[in-house]
Amino acid sequence: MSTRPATASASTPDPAAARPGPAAQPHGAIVATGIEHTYSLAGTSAGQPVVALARTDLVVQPGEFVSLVGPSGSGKTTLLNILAGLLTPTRGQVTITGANPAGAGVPVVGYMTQHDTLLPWRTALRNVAFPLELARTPKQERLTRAAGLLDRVGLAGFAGHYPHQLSGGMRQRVSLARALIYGPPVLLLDEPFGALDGTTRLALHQVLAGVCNDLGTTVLLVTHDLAEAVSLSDRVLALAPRPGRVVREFTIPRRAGPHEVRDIYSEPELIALHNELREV
Amino acid sequence: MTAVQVEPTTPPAGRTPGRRLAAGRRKLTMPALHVLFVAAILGVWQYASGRWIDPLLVASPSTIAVRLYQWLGNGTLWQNLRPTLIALLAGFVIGVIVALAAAVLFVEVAPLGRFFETYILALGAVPFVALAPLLIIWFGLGLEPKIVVAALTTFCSFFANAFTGLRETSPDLLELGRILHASRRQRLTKIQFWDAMPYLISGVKQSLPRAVFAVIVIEFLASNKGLGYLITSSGNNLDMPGLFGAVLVLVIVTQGLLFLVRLAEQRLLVWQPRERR
Repeated sequence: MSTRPATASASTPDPAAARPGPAAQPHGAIVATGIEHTYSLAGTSAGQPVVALARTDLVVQPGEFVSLVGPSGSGKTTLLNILAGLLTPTRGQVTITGANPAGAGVPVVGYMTQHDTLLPWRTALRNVAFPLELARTPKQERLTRAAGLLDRVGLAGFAGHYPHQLSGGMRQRVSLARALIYGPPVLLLDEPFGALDGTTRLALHQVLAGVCNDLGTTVLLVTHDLAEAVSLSDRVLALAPRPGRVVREFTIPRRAGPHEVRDIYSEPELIALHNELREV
Repeated sequence: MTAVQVEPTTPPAGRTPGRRLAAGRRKLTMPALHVLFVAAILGVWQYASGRWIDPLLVASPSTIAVRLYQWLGNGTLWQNLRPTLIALLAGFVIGVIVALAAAVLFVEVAPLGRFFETYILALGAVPFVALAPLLIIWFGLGLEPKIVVAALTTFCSFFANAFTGLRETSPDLLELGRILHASRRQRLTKIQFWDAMPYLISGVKQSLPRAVFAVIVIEFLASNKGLGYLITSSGNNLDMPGLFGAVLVLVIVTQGLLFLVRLAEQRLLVWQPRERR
């Protein structure tokens, strides 16, 4: 577990200084060194690449909960896709618990994307068990583990339901359980709660914090919701667009155990932090 | 551990007994209405036969039933039904398997798919029954020309559905496969194949009646066995009960096969919302 400051850190105006250097913390759960990503837009003239993500260093310690916030086009999803091994960065290196996510034979991260990716022809139970099926885990074992995880996210009575029979919040719980079924040390979340109403979202925050606490999972969350970022995270990284880059880092003071959900509106310092973040 | 608060998770209430009863009643009422309707048609037809309808031109239901009973007894029905069914099912299965294999190949090797797609889709416009004389010259009067024409017709009809279904797999689901490090085979069999299932079922429903039609036409033209042969030979002998009986058997066979497809559809697409099935 990382050492956390007792109070909110001051923001750092220099982006380079805001980046936690890999030399200082070389053994993080997520270590991204000098990653950069450019691409060519179809139809544009050659030689005019778009810089989706400018040079970025990132270290996330085991068990830490870090949020990425920023406007559209600031490279948040690009960064997550690179960390998940879905995208090869133009420059730089990524390791997840010491392994290259793209080269690993098995998935080393759990990834909940923005889109609903439950398989509509599978029940909730068989959706959760799907990653283990791909890994050829024996049927009985994978169903038992899936049932246990469904129970943990509060869906014990819905194992036999198909996705279209579940509400949006329930589907996200199933997705969360599926992302965690193979015990990934790192969980990447790309605006998983964006389409949910406030009440369901708060309930899911509790589920996420509780389950990740139990499993000791490191979490990197992309969100547009600043209050969500402040209430869930140990650190919040603010990104700016064109080119996408980290411009500020905020450390959130922690009172209780890891992955607690804070009520930011009852804590003045969190409100101040939230306001500062909003101005960034 | 942080207490995990969750949304209410009581399973949605099932159907109430009252609703179940009403649904059960509907289930019973509909077949009963169909039976009554068909019985009324047959009754009117039987009554009109010999009065307003010339039995030499249109056989009455009772004479059709007698002829079918005779055919059942002397083995004529089975002798002619069997080759039609064998040719139909063999040609259909071959057509589906080859079309599915071609669709997988063309989806996996995208440039190949882009090049050949136009040609294969154009094949759908070729009336293969028009090639019947050629196929009969090549393969003779046996099962072979019927199997070939059923397979070709099925292939062209089924391929378009299989190719489209496999090609248009949701990008989000393909990304899920990449996230979970699914192998190519796992992606095909556990994601794309199932995502394409509505297209595949639709392809089966479209191609089966076309394959029946193709086999019957070959039997009309040159055959010494089969339901098509039974229809033409009855017609040539002015045996109206025989002609109507053979057509009736053909309708029952086709509808029976489509009924089996619908049963399979209900089972395979149970995951779809009812209004989309």
